Amino acid sequence: MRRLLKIALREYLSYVRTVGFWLSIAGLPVIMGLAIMAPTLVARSAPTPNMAIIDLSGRNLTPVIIKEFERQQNVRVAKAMAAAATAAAGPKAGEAIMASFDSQGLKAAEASFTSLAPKVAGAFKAPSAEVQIVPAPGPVAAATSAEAAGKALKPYLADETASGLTYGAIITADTKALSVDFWSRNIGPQTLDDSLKDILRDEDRRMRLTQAGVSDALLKDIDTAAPSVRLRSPKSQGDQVSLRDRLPTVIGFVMAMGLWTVILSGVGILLNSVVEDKSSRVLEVLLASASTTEIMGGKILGVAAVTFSVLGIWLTLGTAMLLTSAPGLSEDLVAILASKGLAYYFGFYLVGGYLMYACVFTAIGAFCETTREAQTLVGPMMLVLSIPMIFMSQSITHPDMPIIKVLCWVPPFTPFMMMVRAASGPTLWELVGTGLGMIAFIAVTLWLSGKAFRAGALSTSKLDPKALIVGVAKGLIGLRSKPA
Amino acid sequence: MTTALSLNGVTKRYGDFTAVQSLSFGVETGQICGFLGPNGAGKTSTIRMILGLVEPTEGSIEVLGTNDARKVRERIGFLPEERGLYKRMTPVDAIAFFAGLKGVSDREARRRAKQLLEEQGLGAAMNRPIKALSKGMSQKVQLLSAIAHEPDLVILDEPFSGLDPVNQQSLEAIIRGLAAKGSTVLFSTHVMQHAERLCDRVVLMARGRKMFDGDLSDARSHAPRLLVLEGNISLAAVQALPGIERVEVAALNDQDGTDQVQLSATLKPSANGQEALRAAFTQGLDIRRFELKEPSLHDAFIALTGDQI
Repeated sequence: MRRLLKIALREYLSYVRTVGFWLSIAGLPVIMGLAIMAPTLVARSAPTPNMAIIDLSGRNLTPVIIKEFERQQNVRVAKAMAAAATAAAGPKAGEAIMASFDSQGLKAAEASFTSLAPKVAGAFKAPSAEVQIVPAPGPVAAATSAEAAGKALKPYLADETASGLTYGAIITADTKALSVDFWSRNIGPQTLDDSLKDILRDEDRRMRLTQAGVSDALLKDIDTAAPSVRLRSPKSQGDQVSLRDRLPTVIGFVMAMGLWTVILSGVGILLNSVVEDKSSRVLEVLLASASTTEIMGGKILGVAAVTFSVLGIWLTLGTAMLLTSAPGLSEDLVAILASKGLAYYFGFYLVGGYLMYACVFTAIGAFCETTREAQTLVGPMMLVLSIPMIFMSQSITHPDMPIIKVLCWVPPFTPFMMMVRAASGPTLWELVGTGLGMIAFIAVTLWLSGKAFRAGALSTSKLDPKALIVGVAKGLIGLRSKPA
Repeated sequence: MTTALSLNGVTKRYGDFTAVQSLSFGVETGQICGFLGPNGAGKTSTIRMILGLVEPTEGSIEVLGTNDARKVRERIGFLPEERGLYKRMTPVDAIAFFAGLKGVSDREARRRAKQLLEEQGLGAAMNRPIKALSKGMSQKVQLLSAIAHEPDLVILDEPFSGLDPVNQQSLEAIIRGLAAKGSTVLFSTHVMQHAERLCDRVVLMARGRKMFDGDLSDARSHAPRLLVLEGNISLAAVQALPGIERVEVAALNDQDGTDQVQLSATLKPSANGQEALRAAFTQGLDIRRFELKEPSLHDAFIALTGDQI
């Protein structure tokens, strides 16, 4: 044990003392922060685009379009307030704001926001509008056909004038339908044209129904009486399924993804470490000083300490950021982690998954002189490891799908698949059965890897995948593979 | 004297290939034993079996009173043929680390590491990363890593390989020092001169088999002694000298317009070279140069195995 700890400590210090270790610690939060902030930063830095409407339909559609865009903007502001309130005061505050908005409009939502999260409401900055409708430039407004309007619009969109125009919508109508020539400064995919299509379709429908004798009052009634759908589930805590009910599944998925990333990073470091020791012949010296178990155990423990240190630092930073930026959610998160036992599952599957893959990667490393050799063997392993990734996202919406249940029983996938399912309340026998299966698999992996590691550490020939298999097989029957 | 290491009928087979065949020998405590043979003779396989890294197919090995070297790891020092050190570690850390694995306390391990490095003239480099050291320096560090825990048995696999003559001498001094302190040293080499200078006894290996096991004079006695004569002499005249087994022409020279020849006469095992030489002068042979050559370990190896090394 003393030797194992000594090897582990050396392994740990050898990484912690490098600049790369600290760069990797700082790197991920910076990248994640950038990824989260990027859309907001881009949106804030970009001015609201201007759109000119050239209505040649003769139906006076511009006011309808302006009104609908205003309504959409109000929805966005309400949602932004709800998100800010959720972060500050929890999901219930967010839901209350949306309820106020749905029933009484934006003013009521603002009032609700101010009362539920006064601190955040004071500093709240509403998202800028998706688009601003501006009057069409003179020559464009004067056009009498779509072709002429388009021709007149082109120079304004091609930066030939300082109009600041981004979009132009030329609306025409024939006897059957409305049509829009949606002009845009950029070729890239747009979303405004879809919005415009929806607005005009609704307006066209309203107009036709009015012409057919349907009163405005009846149309309003139909719109207001749109069927309401309430999502209910025996697994929800309240009357309806709320964000609070969905959070555990989302957190389970995030934790499973985190688990996959942490395990993969850890075993990657371990593989490199073993390959480095093998190529520099340190492994043989170590074998004369300690047992295979001590060397393997020391390396696995040392790299685990490195990985868990990184994870610990990231979790601490994440928690600090969460407490600062979303104190309302942190209480719920802690409650979910405790009530559903997600934190315990994470610990269990992290240790189990890491051990399982660490053993295999250590054994592979012992047969490899270079990382290139290692990659030839790790490649198929990575394909296997990608299987849970494919199904993990499906588990959020369909945690009880047969294929997902089956994958939970495959030990190499158990840590990831069970982690993502843990929040949806798998049965006790599934938890215990898959857990025991995983433990048994780890025991077999440990034993086989120990044999393969010993054979690999003493071999000096070029990597031959067959030699690895023979090494393991000989280990099974008590022989030793041939050193050079 | 007690036996530090004993091999009895040890065989190691890898499938159809026999790396070591029925090998038996012992090394007494405090001895320096040379384990000699060309590449592929089975030296490294034997060393790995002695260390318990691989198990013999047949036979038994006793190391420091136990039949499993892994039980006495802390009393054994090992320098592998292919050197292995953590390149980013400093010499003092590396030596202390390996001494620590062998049971020496951290503080004591560092103290010994510093002392050994100072003694070997590496004091100035003790805190530099090993990757920044010269090959000779890092090999010394590796050796110091193998002996810092003051082992009872030191096994060195090709310790002189890659070292320049100055460092070779320095290494020889370290090995002598170890033996002087009571450690038993087994070292493998294919360079016979080191063994001749260092060893109390040698074990000669070829093609997995032991060809000789004994002290140096015994080994040399297996090789013929030569009387080299140069001058205007005939093969028949030299062949007629007392104690001569056979004569071969070593070289032909034409100096000063006279036919000069160099003959190499092999002496019979019991013959006295002085007598043959005296007879040559008594008979008035025209000898310009003579040399009585005692066999080297290299000659002994060739005589014993028929192999070149």
